Amino acid sequence: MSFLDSWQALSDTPWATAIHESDLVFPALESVHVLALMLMAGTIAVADLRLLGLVLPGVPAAEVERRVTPTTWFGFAVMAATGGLLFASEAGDLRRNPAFLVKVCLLAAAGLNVLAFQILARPALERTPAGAAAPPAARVIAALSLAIWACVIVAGRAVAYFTHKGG
Amino acid sequence: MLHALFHAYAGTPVSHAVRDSSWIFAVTEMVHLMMLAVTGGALLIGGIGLTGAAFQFPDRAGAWRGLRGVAWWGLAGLLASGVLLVGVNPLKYYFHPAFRVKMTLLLLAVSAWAALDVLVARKPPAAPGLLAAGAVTVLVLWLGVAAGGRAIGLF
Repeated sequence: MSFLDSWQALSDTPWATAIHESDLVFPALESVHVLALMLMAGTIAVADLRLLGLVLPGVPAAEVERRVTPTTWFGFAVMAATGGLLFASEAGDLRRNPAFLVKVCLLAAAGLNVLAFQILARPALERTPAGAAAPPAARVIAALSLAIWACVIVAGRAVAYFTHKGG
Repeated sequence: MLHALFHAYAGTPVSHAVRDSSWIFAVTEMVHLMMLAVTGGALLIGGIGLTGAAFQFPDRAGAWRGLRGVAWWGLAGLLASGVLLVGVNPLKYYFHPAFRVKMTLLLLAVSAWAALDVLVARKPPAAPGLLAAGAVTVLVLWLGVAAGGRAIGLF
């Protein structure tokens, strides 16, 4: 069985089928997933906009990033949990859905971008005096982050369009 | 009067364009979600910060003021994209119960938000308890707006 074939096997399990066929569970999971994505993307957007110097000028960028990160991770945890269940219930169809595959790649890119921030930007950011502009590396990574998360939202919404077209 | 407005909107070239295009609605919906993330993120961080329940900004009112601009710009984007989305079938939305609930909550949320802005801007600022109560009201109303938006798609 190939990796992609195993997706079909996953969606054929009794619990995944039950989620897929439920009139209540699937929409509820989908709603919580969207809200969690909004929570996570929203907090990331604020932190990124601060790194770019566009919001919260009175609070150091490193402090904003430190204070919002736990909320971002909470949003990510809820998004991943609900996303995992949604994926399992439709895995068989999603293996042929280009928007979903793009979304997975974008999520991986977002993860790499976080890693790049920790390695390349955080040390310099911690040394940046209050009120000063964030280091160039931090600003580039913040702009990339905003672009990637905007694309994640676009791809996530596009998944439904491709699914409805029988993708 | 509102019915006449929605009816007139259905006859506009904008509404026809949204209805006839296979991509305008999809793209607008994506922009709407992005604007929701921006507005929601700013209000969430500023609002929860005002309550003191999280984020612990040394100057809570200052943090709210620092996020106010991006939140209002996000709202402008939400409204613009929302009007376009309604254009796909204005009369269907007019009669949709979830849409009516969402619009009522939106009106209340924006009013509460504007009132909170005034309270935060006052010199000296209003009592922390009042600001926290205002922030909770704004956040609960916005949660209702988001839930109303999902309900439109589901029912």
